[in-house]
Order: sequence, then C-alpha cells, then structure tokens
Amino acid sequence: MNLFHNRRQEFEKLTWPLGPDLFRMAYWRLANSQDAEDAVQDTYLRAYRSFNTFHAGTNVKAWMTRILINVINDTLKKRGRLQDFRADDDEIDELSAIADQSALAKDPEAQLIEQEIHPDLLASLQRLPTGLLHPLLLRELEDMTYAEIGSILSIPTGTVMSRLFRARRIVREHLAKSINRVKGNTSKAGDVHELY
Amino acid sequence: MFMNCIEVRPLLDLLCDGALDAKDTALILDHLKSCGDCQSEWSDMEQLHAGFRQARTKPELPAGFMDKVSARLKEEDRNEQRKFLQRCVPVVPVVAIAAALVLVGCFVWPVVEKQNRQDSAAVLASADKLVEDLAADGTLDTIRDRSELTKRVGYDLKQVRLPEWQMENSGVYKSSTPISIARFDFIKKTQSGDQRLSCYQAPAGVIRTSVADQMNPVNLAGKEVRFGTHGKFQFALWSQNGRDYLFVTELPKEQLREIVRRA
Repeated sequence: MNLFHNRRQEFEKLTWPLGPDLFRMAYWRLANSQDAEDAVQDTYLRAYRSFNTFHAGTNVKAWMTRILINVINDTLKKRGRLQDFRADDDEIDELSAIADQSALAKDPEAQLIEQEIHPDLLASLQRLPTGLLHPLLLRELEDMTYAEIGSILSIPTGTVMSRLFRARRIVREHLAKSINRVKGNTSKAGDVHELY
Repeated sequence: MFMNCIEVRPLLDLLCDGALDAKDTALILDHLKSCGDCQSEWSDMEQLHAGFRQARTKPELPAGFMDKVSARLKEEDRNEQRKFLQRCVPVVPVVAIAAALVLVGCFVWPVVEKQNRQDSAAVLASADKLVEDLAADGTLDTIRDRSELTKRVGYDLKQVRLPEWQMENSGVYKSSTPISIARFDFIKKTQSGDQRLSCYQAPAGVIRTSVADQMNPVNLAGKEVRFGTHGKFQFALWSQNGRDYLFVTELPKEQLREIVRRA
C-alpha cells in the first residue's frame, strides 16, 4: 500500500544517517559485532513501529539513542549481563583474555571489526556499570552535551557530570593496571605495546 | 588569583569536555604549568580522551547492513498490511448489512411506501362515486373486446352469468384510482321497457362504500352482499373469488336482490 511506502520512506530519510553512530554505540556497549547488529536492527524496528509517536522537528538522534539503550538493556537482561559495578580486579585478566581470543572465534567480518578497536579500552568499558557506562559512551562517542545526555537517560545534568567523573576515573584506573600488566609481560619479551 | 589542586581536580573533567569558560580555563592551565601531579592527571585524561576520539570512527557499519534493516522494515509493512486486512474481514459482513439497510431505507422503503399509498388510494374507490358517475356520460372508456379489456385492466376478469340479460357495452371506468375497474353494461328488454344493469368488477378490496359498510351484509347464495341506495339507483356490493362486484340499477331493491342471487 502506498500509505505504508510513504511512511517508510519518511522514516528512512530521517533515521538512516544515524546508522553508523547507533552501531558504534551498540558495539562499544555489547562488545560484539553480531550482538550490536541485532540491537541496531531491533532499534530500527521498534522505532518504526512507534514512529507515529515521534514529533517531527524534535531531536531524532536523541529519540533513536533512547530506543537503542532500551534495546541494549533488554538484551543484557535476557543474558543476565546487566550487572552492577564489578570491582573484582581479577576480571581484568579474564576480560582481556576474552577480547584477545574473540578474534579467533568469530567470522571474518567480526574479526576485521575487532582488530580495528582497542581491546583494553573495550574491556575497561565493559567493567563499568550501566549507570556510568551510558553517560560516558554518549559523551565520548556521540559528543553529546550534558543536557542531551540527561534528557536521554532521564537524569539531571549534575548527575551526568558526576557519573562522567566517576566513569573516567574507573576506566583510567583499569587501563593503568592493564598497562602495568602489559609492561610486565613485554619487559620479559623485550617489546613495548602501545595501548592508545 | 590562583587555584589549588583540590579545586582543580574536579574541574579537569569539565575542561576535557570544553564546558568551562575562558577565565576558569586560563586559571587551570596556569595551575597545570606549576603542578606535576595535576599535570600527570590531565595527561592521563587527555590520553583517554584521544583513545575515545579514535573510537568515534570505529567500528564502521558492516557493508549492506542498512539494506538488511530496510528489508526488515518492508517485511514489517507486509505484516501490518496482513493484520489490517485480517481486522477488516470480520467487519465486512457488518458493513454489508449496514449498507443493505441504508439501501432499503433510501430506495426500497420509499417504493414500498408509495405502493402502500397507491393501495390505500385504491381502497378508497367509492361505490357511491361509481354510482354517481354511472349517470354521467364519458365515464367509460369503451372496450368491447374481452381479451383487450383484460389486458387493459391488468387482471383476469371473472365471468358473471346473468340469465336473460344481454351485454350492451363494456370498458374501463375512467377514474383517478391506480387500479383499473372494469364495467359491463347489461340490458334486458321487457314489455314495460328496457331495464339496465351495470356491473363493476375490480380486485377484492378496491371498491368500498361508507353507506354499504354501515349495513349488515345479507347472505345471498353464499355471497355476503351489502345493499345501498344512491339517488334513484340501487346498488349491491360483495366480494367473491378475489374480486369486488358492484351491481347498480334503477330497478327496485327486491329485483336487484334476485339478480344478485342468480348471478
């Protein structure tokens, strides 16, 4: 029917340019290219189903990002991975090992993607609780203002600032430990590894 | 004015995000020049920020991904269309019934109503008027051929057997009633002069007379006959075999009774 066709065209025109940003956000949150694809596809589907609730002229990126975060949270809940803050330092090794091994276990496209990103940074981000990770990703990856982040996550701007402060501190600490560990390993091998 | 480390540390994040005004930015940068610990902290933050800047372009969207999304949305549209049609199917009979009722209300009912009005008008064909018109000329459209007359009135004409009487004329009574009324004029020649009798015939229920209705019917050879008088005329009205019969004559009532009995 023409009605459906016009609606889909209008939706695609508005939301298609956001695809790369949404995929990146999903990838850095889920740490898996296939999961990220599924999440973004579900996001588009959910958004399309509720397109009639979108007010033309408002921030479409904020609207789509809010839906993506809901999809990601649902995905993690299903997998039991929506954990609170994990303070166990031993998990750094575990996560690093997972990041290193993941390239061996996945399809060529996933391997290509994961070779492009920094496994230590990814592992450090995965250690953050959702409440800290989402503000950090929206700020650092999407370059959103404090007000935009507060609007998407339904939290005050002051809370956004304090969560960013805590998130960065935790990530820096984890990366520092990771650097020290790598330096310890590489000094034995006589090599230097650049993390950033 | 100078800032100390306790004041500077919380503001480094804001500096990193470009959320400080020029004055505060200058004060913090001054402090960083002279403070190794804060400079180290700031250096770590810048390094992290640089790592994220690189991450902003990676990973890239897999090739053909948006085509997959587009195909999924098309499938969603097809499902919506199917659901829409499924929702419509149970409604169709209701809509059809409603449309039929509207059709009846708008087109059929007026036709039925008109027919009813015509029937009512037909019932009002007055025997008194028939009798009155009998005396006037020009109230009969003469048709002598019986089949032609039958065709003209639109219903079968019943044979009325009247011994000793001869049919002198026949035709259709000219009136405004939608149902045609046939009339047969009979004559009987006697020594004292010619006797005349006019017989009207119409479908049952068409001919009525208020005078006759007020009288009790008389049973004559199985016929429930009402008699009446209009001026110099005597008339008899009854229904038989789906027809109304009205006999009108100037003869006395007793003689009319005898004619009706033998008819």
